[in-house]
Order: sequence, then C-alpha cells, then structure tokens
Amino acid sequence: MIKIENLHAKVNDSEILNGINLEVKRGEVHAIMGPNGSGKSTLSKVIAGHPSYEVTEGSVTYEINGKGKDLLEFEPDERAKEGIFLSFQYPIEVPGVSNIDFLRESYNTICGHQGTSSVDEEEFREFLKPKIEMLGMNPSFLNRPLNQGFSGGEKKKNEILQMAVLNPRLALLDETDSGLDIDALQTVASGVNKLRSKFNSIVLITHYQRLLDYIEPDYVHVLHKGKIIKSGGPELALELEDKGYDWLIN
Amino acid sequence: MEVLSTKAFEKFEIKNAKAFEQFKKLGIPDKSWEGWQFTDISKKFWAPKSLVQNNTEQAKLIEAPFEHRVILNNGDLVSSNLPEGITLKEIETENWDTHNPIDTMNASFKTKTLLITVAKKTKVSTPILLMNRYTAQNNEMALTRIKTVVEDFAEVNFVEYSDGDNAFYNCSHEILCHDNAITYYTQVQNFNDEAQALSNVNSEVGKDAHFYSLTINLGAKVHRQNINVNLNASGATAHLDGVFALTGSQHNDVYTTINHNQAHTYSFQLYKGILDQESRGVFSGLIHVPQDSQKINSEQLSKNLLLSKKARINTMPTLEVYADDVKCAHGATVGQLSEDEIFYLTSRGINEQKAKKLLCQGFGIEVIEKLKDQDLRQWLTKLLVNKLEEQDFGHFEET
Repeated sequence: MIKIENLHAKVNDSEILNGINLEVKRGEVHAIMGPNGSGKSTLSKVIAGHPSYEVTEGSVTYEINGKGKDLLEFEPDERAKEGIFLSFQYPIEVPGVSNIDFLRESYNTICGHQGTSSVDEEEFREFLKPKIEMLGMNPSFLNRPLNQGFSGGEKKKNEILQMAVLNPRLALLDETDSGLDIDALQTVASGVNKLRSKFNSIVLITHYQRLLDYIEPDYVHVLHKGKIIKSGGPELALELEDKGYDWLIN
Repeated sequence: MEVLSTKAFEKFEIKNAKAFEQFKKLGIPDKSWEGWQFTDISKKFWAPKSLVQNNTEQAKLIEAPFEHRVILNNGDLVSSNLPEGITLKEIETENWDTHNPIDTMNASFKTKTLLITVAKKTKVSTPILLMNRYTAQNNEMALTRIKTVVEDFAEVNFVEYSDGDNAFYNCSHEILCHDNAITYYTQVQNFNDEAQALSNVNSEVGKDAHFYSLTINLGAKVHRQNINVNLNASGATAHLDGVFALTGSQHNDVYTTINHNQAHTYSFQLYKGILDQESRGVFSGLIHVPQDSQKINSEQLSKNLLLSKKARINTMPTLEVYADDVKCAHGATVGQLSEDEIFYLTSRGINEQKAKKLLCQGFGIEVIEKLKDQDLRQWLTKLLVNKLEEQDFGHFEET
C-alpha cells in the first residue's frame, strides 16, 4: 500500500524526520508510538501532504491501481481522492459551513473521483444514519457548523465519522484517543474496528498502549528523534507500557 | 475625466439652492478633513457627468423570497406591497445634516424624500425588501433619499438592496427609532466595479428602542459609507454589524459614529473585511460619550482577512469618553487564512481554491448568522457566496 524509504523532512528549518523506513501492506494495522516530539504527527502530516513540511530526502511510494506512484508529487486534495485520510489530532473549527454540507462536498469530490455518482442531501442523510448511530452521535451534529463548539470527544468522533463516510484505503489516525473518556474511546475504537478490512490499511499514532487494547495492531514501531528505533508485534506495546521509553532511548 | 469639486455640480439643475449653497461652503472632503484621511474623495471620485435622465428602462430585479416589497427606480417610487400599519409617502425634502457633505449634496438635488412610516405598535418581523435599483449609466448621478419612522412599540425588518452600473450614487437615509421600537435595517450594496457610491445613514434612537444595522458591501469601484447614530434616552441600543468582500482595486470605507447622548445607553459593533488582490478597506469608528452619560456599555470590533499581500486595510477606533463610569471595549484584528485551516479542508479532497472560499464564507457569515429570519439569512449568505466566487484566491502564496 505505502512504502516510505529514508524519509527526511523539516519544518521552519528544523529537521523532524531523519530517515524513516516503513512499509504498510494492504490490510495491515501499524501503531506508531514514541515520546513527545519524536516526529509521529509530522510523519502523518507529511504523508497527507501538509504544505508547511518540506521533504528534503527519501521517497514515499503509494500504490494506485496496482502501480507504485511517487506520493510526494500529489497535492493534499489529490492524495485524499486517492484514498488517504488523516484523522487530525486537533480538528479545525470552520464557522459558517455546516457539518453535513462539508461531509457531502468531501464525499462527492472523493467518491466522484473514484467513480461513484454524486448524492443529494436526502440520500446522503440516509447513508449517514447507520454511521452516526455506530458512533453514538446526535444527528443534530450534522446541522451544526463544522467542529465549531464541539467538545474534544465530539471532534474526534466527527473525524471517525468522516473516515466512515470516505472509506479510505489508508487511514492515518493521529492521537485519536487523546481527550477521550473511556466510553468514548470504546465507541471510537469499535467504529475503527468496523472499518478495518483486508482491503485497507490503518496507521495509528498514539502515546499510550490504552488504545491498542481496543484496536489490536499487527505491528508496533517506536519513533525517536525522527527515526524508527524499534519495531515488533503487539507485545512491544505492552513492554513499553511496562518499562516506558527510556530503555530504548538510552 | 475631471476630479471631484463642488464646481462640477454647478452645471446641473440645482433643485434646492439653500442646500447647494451650503454644499459649496462645505466643499468636497479631502485628506485634511477629520475622518476622511483614508478616502480622499476629491481625488478618488470622478465628477458625475449629468443627473440621471433615463427613468423608464426597467432594470432587472434580483430574485428574493420576500412577499412585501417597495420598488424604487433611480430613487423614485415605482410600486409597493406593504403589510398593514406601514405606509409610504413622498414628501418635500425638509431637513438635512448641514455639516455632512454627503447629505448636503444629496439634498441639493433630491427634493423628494420617500417617507416610510411604521405605525405605533405595528409588528412585522418578516423582511420587507426595499429594492433600490438604478438605470444610471456613464457616470450619471442618481440619488435616493429615504426617511423611515418607526413609531413607539413598533417592530420592523427592512432589507434594502442596491445595485447599478458605472454611475455616481448618493443614498441618504434618516431612520428614526422611537421609544420601545425595534428596527432591523439591512443594507446590501452590490454595484458593479465601475460604480462610485456615497451613502449616509443618520439614526435617532429613543428610550428602550433597539436599532440593528447590518451593512453588506459587495461591490463598487469606490464606496464611502457614513453611519451616524444618536442614542438619545436611557435603554437606547444600537447594534451595527457589517461585512465587506472586496476584489480587484475596489475601495470601501465605512465610518461609524455613535453618540451616547444619555446615561444607560448601549452600542455593539462588529465589522468584518475580506480583502483580495489590490483592494483596500477602511473601518473607522468613533464613540462619543459626554460627561453626563454614565453607565454606558460600548463594544466595537473590527476583524479583517487579507488574502493577498497587496490588499490593504486601515482600521481605526476612536473613543472620546468624558464620563467616568462607563465600559468601552474596542479591538481590531488583521489576519490571513492559516495553512492549517486550508490543509484540513484539502485533506478531505476539497481543492485549495474551494477550501479558501469556504473559510472566507465562514469568516464573513458571522454577522449574517445573528439575524433571526431564516429566509433572510439564506438569501444574504447566497449573495456573499456569489461574491466570493469572483475572488481570485490563486495568487495568495506567490505575491
């Protein structure tokens, strides 16, 4: 699905990524863990195409219609159309644009690109119904301005709702667990699990092992100073929970 | 073409000699005038060529979902459909603000004033459209003069929509909001890119009365708007909101004055500017509180979004406060769209142009969303969105 080789990236002249190598295959779930400032969020933003980050070295190859393409050549909206989705750690509030209009615009653009026909508002509301129920959201959220005045938990649920609507091939979930209470965490995790399939891949970025109790990864990687310093199976996360990061860093 | 001086008007048929003498005495404001330093109309405006002649051509009416309406053509009444309790009459122009060059210019050439009276205790909350259309061309001068009287305990919601081509416009309004009355007055000004427009609003607000003014400025080559509010008795409250969206080399200058003439009077202002390309915006707000006007609350905020490095905004609050027990807050912000905001939308498949439009829409719509009437909110939002469609967001990074 995606192959990252020797990736270096900087923002405002400070190097954040220092040679990342990572391959995520179709159907796999990878967790990326690491202390604050290790470059986890940067990695997800570089993959999704945030313009503030400059790639200085290395490559990102993404599979489109069975062919490996240079992802770094694509604009962020083009990456989204090719099935890349980033769930934001801090979703942006957009006053004056209703949640449903935004979702439908996004759905029609992305799914239109992938060959699905556009839906009108009525059809779209029907399509959303089970997804909203799955996430335990109040349907009135659809009519409110995008993320405006949403609590932290509501914003995160809204991100997963977008993921459910857009059905991405590669989902990058950046600290989707932060700011969630236990009930909300379980709801969000079960939502993600329902979207997990052998056709798509998920990269979970998290500080804590807690999320991985609910969404079990195939692989766990530890990021430190912009490099992956250790990779393993789900047991690595448990070991980190027990011992912290120090034993790997020092 | 000739620049603007009072001499340029002498060749027209003077309708009111007294007003014209006064206009000549005042002269055309230039940079040396207090409150006109950012818009030197003696240089910014071309002199009008003649008074508007053609008054028969039917200008196209904009679609609007409002049943009650008054239609004006070049400032003259054509037709009306009004609910009970609201009456219309054309009266002789009787008074004007002798210190105000816009109003004095207007009175010199407009002998008829359209008087709209909302009778005591009449309550009509659905919007009434005042369609102020013009057929003036080639820098002809067209004028509108309206006096609105909202009597005690009445409530009304007017929406005035003005559009027109490359001409010289002068619109003057007097809005009297009597004791306990509630007046909503929205003005949409959507001239073409060659139009030159002056507009003046003077409002008197009585005891426990509320005056809500919303101005939406979408177009004109150059536009200067004065809004002057007198809060004359305790409980008198003014809400002045506005949004302007400018492109090309458009110039828009809003100057508000609020006189808190009595204690326990309140004013709230929020003006938002969206400026693209080489456009220029000005917001100046003067709040005057004399010594005996205690227990005043006054808020003023000017928020602006610059979409290009060549766009300019001047924003200047002025407080003249002589009383000591008052609350006056003012602030101004000037910003750009952030990369993080744009990225959030583009990461959902929306292209960069569209993302910027949605963010500008969200920014501008704040003042519209305060309105109670849903049809009106939707209609105004559509007008703003259509204007944003014209904006060229492409050069944001490269300039």
